[in-house]
Amino acid sequence: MQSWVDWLDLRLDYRFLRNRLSSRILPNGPGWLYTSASCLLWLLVIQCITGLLLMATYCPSMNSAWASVHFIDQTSAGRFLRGIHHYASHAMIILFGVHVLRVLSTGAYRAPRELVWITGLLLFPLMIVWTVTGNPLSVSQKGIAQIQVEGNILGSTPVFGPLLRRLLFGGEDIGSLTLTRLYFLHVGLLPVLVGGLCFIHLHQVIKHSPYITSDDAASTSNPERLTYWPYQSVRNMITLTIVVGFLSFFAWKDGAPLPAPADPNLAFSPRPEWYFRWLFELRRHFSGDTEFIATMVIPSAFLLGFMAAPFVDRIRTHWLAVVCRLLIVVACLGGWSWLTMISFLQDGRDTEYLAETAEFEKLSARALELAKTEPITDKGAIELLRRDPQTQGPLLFARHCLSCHPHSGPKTPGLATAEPSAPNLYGIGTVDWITGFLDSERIASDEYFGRTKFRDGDMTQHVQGMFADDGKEGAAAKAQKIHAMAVALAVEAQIEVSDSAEAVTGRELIKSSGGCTDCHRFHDQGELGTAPDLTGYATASWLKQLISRPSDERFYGDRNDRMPDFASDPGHPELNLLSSQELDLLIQWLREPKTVTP
Amino acid sequence: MNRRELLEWVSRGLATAVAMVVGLPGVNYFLGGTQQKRSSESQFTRLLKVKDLVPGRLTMVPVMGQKVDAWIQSDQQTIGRVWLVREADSSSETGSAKQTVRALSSICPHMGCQVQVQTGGKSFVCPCHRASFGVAGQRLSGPKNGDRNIAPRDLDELECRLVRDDETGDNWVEVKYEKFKIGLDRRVVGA
Repeated sequence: MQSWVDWLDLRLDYRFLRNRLSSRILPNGPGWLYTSASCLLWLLVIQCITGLLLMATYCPSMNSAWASVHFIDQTSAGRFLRGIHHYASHAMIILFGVHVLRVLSTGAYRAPRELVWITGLLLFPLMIVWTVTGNPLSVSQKGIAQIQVEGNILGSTPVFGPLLRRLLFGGEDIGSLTLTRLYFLHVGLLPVLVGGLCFIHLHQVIKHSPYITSDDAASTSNPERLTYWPYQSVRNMITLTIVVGFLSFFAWKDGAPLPAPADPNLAFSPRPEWYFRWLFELRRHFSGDTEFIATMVIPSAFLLGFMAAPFVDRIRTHWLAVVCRLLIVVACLGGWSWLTMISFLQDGRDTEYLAETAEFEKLSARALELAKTEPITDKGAIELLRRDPQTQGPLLFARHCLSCHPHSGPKTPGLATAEPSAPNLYGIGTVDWITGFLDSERIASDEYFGRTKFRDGDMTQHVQGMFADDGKEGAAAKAQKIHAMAVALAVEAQIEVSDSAEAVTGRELIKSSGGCTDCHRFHDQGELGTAPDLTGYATASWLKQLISRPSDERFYGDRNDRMPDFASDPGHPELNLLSSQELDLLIQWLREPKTVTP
Repeated sequence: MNRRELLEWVSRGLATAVAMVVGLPGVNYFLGGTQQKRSSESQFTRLLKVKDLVPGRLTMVPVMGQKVDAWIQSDQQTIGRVWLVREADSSSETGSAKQTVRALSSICPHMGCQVQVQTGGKSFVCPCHRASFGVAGQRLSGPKNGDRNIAPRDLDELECRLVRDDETGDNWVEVKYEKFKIGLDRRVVGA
């Protein structure tokens, strides 16, 4: 065994390095403040290992990325590893800040360690770019929206901006090439660059550290000088254990976030990650052509200013130098915190932003919920939410219907409109909705026909004439009849599923004393052309036909008020306001049981 | 030049040549892949019937077309969105060709976010940095007192025409969809 190790050492000389490390000393002895450096290094190693493992599953394609990340999260180990990878990236940025401020406040950058300082500072923007290129890889709405803005910021740099933006995006717009470029940067180029800089950085640290010489060891007059190994190393490992403990806790408890898959049809206001908030706030004070001052010039000036520190600060121990350094540290920390805080406070007061964020959180949760039961097809995870009536229904309703129709229930505000001019469609086809419609008081109210030209039409007059309490018939008996007809129609709509005796009575009433078939067709009685068909009333296919062409003979014909044809041309689906799939989603949502808040 | 110097220069030259063999195609590879084939001239796209536009209401309509994303070509994709505004004072419901419809690009000229209709439906607002615009696309001062409008120019108005389909007698809104560079105070075609 011994001979083997000797053989290896003769060739590699590894004992030299080990001895060097174990005889290294820190100028002021070991301390907790020095642990940030080693912690950063080991986190970098952890990032490389977890990243490599994730690469074994992740697929950088616009269609598959989200699904593959979701797939990783399906095993507890995968979820944990991705969690560590995510939280460690945030931890590294915090530790980097701590590390730089520690070096700055102690003036540890001075000759001959200028290159330690400069390579270290250069690592900072690289690390930021590393996280920035990592965030969009899951092709989540948030990640893609962020990189879109970040690419645009890059593009607004004078001269080289447009070229750099095109290089990053792989074209004019975000697309498949953007993702492969980001992936290339994240797992290819940046690790090489960071690795190279780290090598120089560590080489310089080792080269310019003091070591115990044989003289020191021999002299008995000096007190014992504590070497790096193990006196500093044990502190390093304790700090690292605490940090990794925190990371593991979050990774185990929450996993890494996976926001809803990116869909260009969804609006989203991206906000940068917390470490960019100060720039986000700073940028608000510049506009147009001067914006690059905030996004490029100021950060670069800071970086260059810091880099110049070893060449400016040549006073070794003067108290003034100490005060200056501490002032700079306090100013940087204070300025950063101040801008960051303003930005968060501003968003905290912005109700529209908060509402949108809450909405997006719901969307993300919904996507994950759907992914549990629904398969992700070759069209990608984007289809999860696009095929979901609960998600698309309100969006389609708001876009196409809400300008006239409200959709708000008695207990839920739902979707309200400023100037309703058509019936409230909340619960259309349900017994309650139809009962309200046949109510002599309510039919002419804003809830139903109040703001349409049917306000004084035959239907309104019929309901007000027949169903109002005229004293001849008991109010209770009348209400019972109305309820029976409402049940019959709800059964017709296939919303009320059980066909009861009351429904049978209701159907008879519709055809006889209810007087409905005088104008409406209902199965074998009545004719079309005077009022909407009640056969198959409010079923999915009835609603689809109605919305497609309300002016069809089966519905309002030329009596149609203002409702547009939403899909009048089956031959040219691209020219219709709503596609067949959109209609299905909208109608499915409209007909959903209304026990839950929409 | 002695023999030693000559050999030094030859070595350097050869090393450079070998580096070029990989380096030049490397640069070209990165830049070349980004040159997207431009779909000739942007053409007018038929969006919807004039009568489907409620006067005075701001309506967002997706513009469908062919999209080429690197190695994937897909038809009937959303290539952009426009906000259509039909003048509120046009009285007739049938949509005669005289009525005016204005088309605005939905892309905020500041950072390229999608502008939304502000609560109340009488103006646009960009959700990213709260730039707000009137129905004609003109910049308005910020929603809160003292807020500056961060947008460098007004919303981009797109060429829009009303075309009568003689077969059916319908009037259609057609828009020439184009993208303009963001962040500039003037309009330059290009993403």
